[in-house]
Amino acid sequence: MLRDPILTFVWAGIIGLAIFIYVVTDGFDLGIGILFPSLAPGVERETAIATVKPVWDAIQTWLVLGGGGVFAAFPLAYAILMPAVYAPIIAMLLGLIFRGVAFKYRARTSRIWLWDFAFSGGSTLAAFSSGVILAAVVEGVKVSGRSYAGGWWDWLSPFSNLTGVSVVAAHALLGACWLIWRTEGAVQDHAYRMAWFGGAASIAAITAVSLANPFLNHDYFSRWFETPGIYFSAPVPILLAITGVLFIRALKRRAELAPFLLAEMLFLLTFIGLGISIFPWAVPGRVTIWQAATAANAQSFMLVGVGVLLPVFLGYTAYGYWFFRGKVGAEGYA
Amino acid sequence: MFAMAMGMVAITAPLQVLAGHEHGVNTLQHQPAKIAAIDGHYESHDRAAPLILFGVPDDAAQTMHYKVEIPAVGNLMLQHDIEAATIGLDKVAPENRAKVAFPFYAFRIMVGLGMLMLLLGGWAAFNALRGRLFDNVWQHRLASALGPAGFVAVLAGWITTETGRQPFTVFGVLRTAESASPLAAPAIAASLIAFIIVYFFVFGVGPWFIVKLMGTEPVQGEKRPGKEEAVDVGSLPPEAAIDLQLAD
Repeated sequence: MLRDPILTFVWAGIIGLAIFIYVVTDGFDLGIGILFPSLAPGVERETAIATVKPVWDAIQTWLVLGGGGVFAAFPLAYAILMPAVYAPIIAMLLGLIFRGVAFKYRARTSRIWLWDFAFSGGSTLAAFSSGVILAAVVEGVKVSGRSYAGGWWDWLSPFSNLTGVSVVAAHALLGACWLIWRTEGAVQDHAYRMAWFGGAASIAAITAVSLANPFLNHDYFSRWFETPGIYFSAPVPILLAITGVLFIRALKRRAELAPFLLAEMLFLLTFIGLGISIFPWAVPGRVTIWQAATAANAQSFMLVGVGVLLPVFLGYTAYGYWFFRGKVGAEGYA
Repeated sequence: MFAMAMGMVAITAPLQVLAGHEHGVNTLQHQPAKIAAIDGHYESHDRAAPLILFGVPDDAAQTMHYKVEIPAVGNLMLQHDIEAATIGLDKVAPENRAKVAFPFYAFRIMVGLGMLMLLLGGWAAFNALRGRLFDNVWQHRLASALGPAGFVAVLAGWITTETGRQPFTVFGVLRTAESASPLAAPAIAASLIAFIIVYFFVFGVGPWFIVKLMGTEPVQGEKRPGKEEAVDVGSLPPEAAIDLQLAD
């Protein structure tokens, strides 16, 4: 099987991009689900739902592109990692099912509390599970030959639970900042309070996960604390600290857009930090992206498809956000 | 709405038959053992194989019991030639044979429903041409009865193709037993049960809602979906406005 290192690198970039766009553009509507129980039934909840209703379903494209991309471009990584994180993947999918269905059904039912519960429960479960999956992959999995050799509870660890809670907190922060940007009056006041809680929880969580991560194995440690790795990795925590300070100041002066952008910046920096920890591993410590890659002709064949589709995805996503811009009331976009 | 649905059936049902035929020709070329199982052909024929309509397959005895067949025309469907040879399961190594009952019955359910849909589409087109689309009660009853037919036919077709390919995942290359994941059985069982519960709940609510919609009588001045105003009779063309008034 002929593999191409550059093509493989491009595919790793596409998958990274897809997962990142998923987190950045889907994060806040999961966050709204997480914050939902704290919002008063009626105007507050309807307004919060209305802000994401036109855009939430298009953005799951990125999750499919990320998952499908790993399956097609890095089949060995998919074959090893899927069994390793099977339970949290299933939990995440079930959470997303409940959340997605709730969007449609809650508008047409007299039992709205039931679908509100499905919406917030599903969102929280999906966010928590995605954190657990991430942590389980970063922690490394047991491999024998070309397949997974661990048990089906291996993903469960203190670190994966910590990361799961962190991802829930960070999504709640994104959701609160999105609501600050897109709403007014009582909903916005509530969102500011939630952003303080979410911000404090997220900063604490990012700090805890970042401190725990280098001690998971020696490879991570050397990338973060020993030369020459430290020259590449040191800017990340410094920029994180600066972003955190700017975020607090933006909340204090009740800025409307800045908190959201800074919260997204926190996500970008942690994502880059994650990349520094695991690149070029597809299965940390065991399989590199070049070993996991499929044949070059298959990758270039798929690249043609993605080359056509990616601009289309980006185009309609951008158009959707442009079309539904500005402040939102309980009745939806004006 | 009814006219739109019937128009759709009249167009797509024949197209589906054509597509299904092409699919069959393709399958015969690449997965002949699947076609043998679907057709219920345990034995090969040098020429003029029968077309088995119904029967009870028996894998242990490698025979079809109680079969109803049309002699000699079995090759017309896919090979378009009575004289062509037909491969039966006797040409397939015993360890590479599918369990015939699944693809055999599922295929007949799928094709049977397809034929009923074809009948409905033709009947509806015939009635529409006579201008009596909304008057023929028995045609309406057939349409109601075929309500779930689309779902059932898709599932039956899926069962046909997946079970007919066994014992392979990739026909002739990768066996299903070799492609199984290293996951423990309880993990698969737990997720399957979770999905069954969730799907029963979610998909149970969907049909319940559809049935509720179907059970609601049409009302004059019904609000359109979304925020638009109720239909104003005055804004309709005169014929439609008269129709609405007559309906009162």
